[in-house]
Amino acid sequence: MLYTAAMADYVGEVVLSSTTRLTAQCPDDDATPALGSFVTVDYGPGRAVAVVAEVRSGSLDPGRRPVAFGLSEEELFRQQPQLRELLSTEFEAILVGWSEGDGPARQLLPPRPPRLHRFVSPAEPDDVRTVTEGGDWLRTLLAAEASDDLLAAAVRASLATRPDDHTARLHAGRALARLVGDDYERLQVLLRRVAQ
Amino acid sequence: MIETRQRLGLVTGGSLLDGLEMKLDPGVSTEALRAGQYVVVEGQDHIFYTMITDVRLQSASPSIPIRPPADGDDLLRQVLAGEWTYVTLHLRPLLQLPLVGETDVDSAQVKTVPAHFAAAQRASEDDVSRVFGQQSARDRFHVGAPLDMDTPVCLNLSRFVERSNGIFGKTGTGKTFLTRLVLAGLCHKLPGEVVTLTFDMHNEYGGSARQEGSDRHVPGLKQLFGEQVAVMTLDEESSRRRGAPIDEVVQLAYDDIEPGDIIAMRGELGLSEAGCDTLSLLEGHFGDRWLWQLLHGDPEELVERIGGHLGAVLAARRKLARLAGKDFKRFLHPKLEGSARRAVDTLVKRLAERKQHVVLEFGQVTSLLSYLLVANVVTRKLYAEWVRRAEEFHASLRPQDKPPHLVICVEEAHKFLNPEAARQTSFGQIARELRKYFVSLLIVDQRPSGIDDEILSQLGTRITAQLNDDRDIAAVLAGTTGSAGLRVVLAGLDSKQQALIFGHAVPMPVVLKTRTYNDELFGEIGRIKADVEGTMSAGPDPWG
Repeated sequence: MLYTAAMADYVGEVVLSSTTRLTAQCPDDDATPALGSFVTVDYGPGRAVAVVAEVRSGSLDPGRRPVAFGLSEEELFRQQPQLRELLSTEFEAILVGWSEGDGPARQLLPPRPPRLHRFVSPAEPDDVRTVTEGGDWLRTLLAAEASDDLLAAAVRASLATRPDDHTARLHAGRALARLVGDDYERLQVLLRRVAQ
Repeated sequence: MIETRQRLGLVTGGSLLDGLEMKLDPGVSTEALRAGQYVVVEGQDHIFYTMITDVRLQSASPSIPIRPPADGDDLLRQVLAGEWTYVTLHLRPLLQLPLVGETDVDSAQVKTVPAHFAAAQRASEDDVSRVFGQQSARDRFHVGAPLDMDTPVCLNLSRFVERSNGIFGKTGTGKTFLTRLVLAGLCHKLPGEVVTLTFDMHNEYGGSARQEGSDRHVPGLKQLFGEQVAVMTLDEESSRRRGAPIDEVVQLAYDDIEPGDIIAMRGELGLSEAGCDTLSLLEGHFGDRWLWQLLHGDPEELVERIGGHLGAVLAARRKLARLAGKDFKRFLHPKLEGSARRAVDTLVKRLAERKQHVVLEFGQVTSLLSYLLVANVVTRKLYAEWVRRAEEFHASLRPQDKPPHLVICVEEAHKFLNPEAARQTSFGQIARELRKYFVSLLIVDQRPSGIDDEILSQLGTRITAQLNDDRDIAAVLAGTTGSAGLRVVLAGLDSKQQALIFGHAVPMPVVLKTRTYNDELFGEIGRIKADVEGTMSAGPDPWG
């Protein structure tokens, strides 16, 4: 095993990737990353940082749609244990940062897409801080058509890594203001969600 | 500059015509700014002195003022502050000085504007003293300091006396105090070169006077300057009662008065045009006995002699009967003998030959009419004397023939210089003809809108305390460039100890907190407190 450290707390395995997005399958439902949270994927060497943009669960086989059984979750899996193997949860993440070696991650896109089957784990707070310094990362999210809810969730996640909540919130608010330009309504909505 | 200035923001636009627009840095509070404050803008080669004339709250989106942040939404407020909601200042450029090298502030008119994004900073004390300093210069007199600063602001007295000047302000704003300060400056800095005559309607300049709103007494010019100042009075009894240090009593006789003196106050007397003609006819026939004849002669006989209309003569006599009233009896007599006869000549002599400053007290002669009459008569005589002396000097060009520059200080000036009177009195002539004859006016008034526009526009330096009436403010600012900005500054003055000075005697307009009468002032004048105290009449301790 090459990536034991990453495996220890991994939240997904890359099943689809590009230089702007990746899709990862979660090992189990309990390890699903939160919307807007930061994850990292190892390139060995280098690592990319991404923001979880969507999480979805469904059938592994696109041709077979799950049907309702009318049982509690516990009872269902007792009666139909094979279901665990047929269902999966996966998430999509937008790439926002890159580090070529061991140094801090920066607001850059990786030069290549993450390799398939690499493990995705929660990002280190230091990486989140360096990637979200200033407001440029928000522009990357916006270019990837992130919704306002995602923007707010990502900003909240970035703030959680910083000690001085108020100043950081102000800086993030200003970055959002610059981002949405003249759309004052939208700014108000975003700030309300950030403040929640 | 040694002292560091506080940065306020940067220039974002503007023009030479309309002034500069600057954006205030986020974090600088608008409440720390004030209209009238100096801001210096550092260009590449020049430093521009400007004055804040407007502070504007701006927003980058029209939606922001429509849906402002809710109460308690501090995050939104703070996020908006500085970029989406911001403050701009309107600056009026006043002076342009080279960044390095010697500067002549008197010829530093603004000829261009600094480039985009030039840094704008609050003017430091060094900046202000670079413009207003030179307190030690012979003809500079310290009159106060800019608000929030201790740097002395000096009036250039040589330039000041070159033209007629005005001191304005509504009642109780310190006009008298300012006037006394300016007169003290003239007495102190330019002895022998400049003499002043003050028509002291309320007995406030010669002897000590009570400071408004307190029991403190401030020393008058006589106490400060001793022999340099002569106090003359129209009402000896009142002056003696007050213990005023009088030098001489001035009395007028009927033959001192010319019809012109009366015609100039025809509005106050309610004299018709026919009445004015009658006076001229009377003078034509009776010479300097015309007034006596009008008041005491037989009207029918007068009509026969001068050929006028009986009704007009009777009307004129009725109107002028006020000159024989109680107030006038204190100083106006049908006939005077001996030295009393020559009192006005003595006054002229004191000014012209002994080069003394004269304060003419009115004592209990309180009516406006008497004030107008005396001021008209005395000024007419002085004016004639100065014209004669000036002409002699122009002919001989000998320095010893040059008359001292006479500054006539007159209160309630709109009574002498309203559009009608200004054409008829010597005051109007003096105000218009300027320095040709070495006479200028110091106009003190609370109602500048009543003064003839032409005269207002000729004023060199204007010192104005608070004014409320829009017409008065417009009148004070008439003929000055960028008056809209100064109007804001003027409206923002406090009612005490603050004045805006602009014009010929200062390099740029300045809002002052006026200098106080204190030891430092007496020290500068060379009189020590004990000396001044000794000459003051008994009263409450003026020094607190």
